[in-house]
Amino acid sequence: MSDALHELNRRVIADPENTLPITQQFYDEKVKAGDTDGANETLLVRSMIMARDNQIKLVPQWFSAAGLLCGGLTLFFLMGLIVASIARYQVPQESKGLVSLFFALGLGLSTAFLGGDAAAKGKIPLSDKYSPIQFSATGGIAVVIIVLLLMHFLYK
Amino acid sequence: MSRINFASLASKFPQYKKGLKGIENWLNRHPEARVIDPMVISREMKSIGIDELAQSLTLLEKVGELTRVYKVLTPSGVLADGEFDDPRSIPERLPDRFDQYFDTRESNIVPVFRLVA
Repeated sequence: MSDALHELNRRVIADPENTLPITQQFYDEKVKAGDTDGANETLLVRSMIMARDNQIKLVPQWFSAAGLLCGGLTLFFLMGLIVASIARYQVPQESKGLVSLFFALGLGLSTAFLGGDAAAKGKIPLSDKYSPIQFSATGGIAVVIIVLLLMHFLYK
Repeated sequence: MSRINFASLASKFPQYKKGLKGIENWLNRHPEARVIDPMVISREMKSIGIDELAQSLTLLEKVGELTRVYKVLTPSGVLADGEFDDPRSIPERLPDRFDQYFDTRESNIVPVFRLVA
């Protein structure tokens, strides 16, 4: 098993641009040699090792929790502002820029984490040329810019 | 709660007890899951050896609780939609999620397991 895995990895590393046909050829050789179970196990263990060693560009596991945390903190801050305004405490004019920045970063980070996690899980369709990490970063930056612009014009 | 009788399997195959327990826990945490992605459980259960997990998945397949299919993992890290019973039948080009065909040549072949029940 270990020898088969090393052999497949050796072939792929030697010619990574042909990973799929090399894997198919390797699988075919094993099946024709009467070792279908070994061929299946090799592909299974290889994919698990790649994932565990972070050789595959998956988003980190903590993305969804971080997204919920950022979104929750932003919502909590908004609720605090509402409660404070009911109690007649207003945000000073010179601090409104900081409040806008907080909302923009909070929503941007939340979008980046949750969007990246959803893209990696296939819940958001992505083109082959666009990775979940790229989607996460681009989406987060876009939301920060949009929220800053909206706050600039609407929160005076 | 999973319909698979893990306790019975673990008593029949004690050498897979740890791997089976890990998979059972994962399924209990993801009750909506109909597919087990070995890459995901490998990353989430680092305390269990890869061989133990792989052999436990294969055992579940052999007793008829899971079916193994193959998918294409694109270089960007996204699984293409197509599923194949035999990795040799994966074509040179496949549609991505925008129905744009991409060259599979640089992609990895990865197995996933579908729950039968």
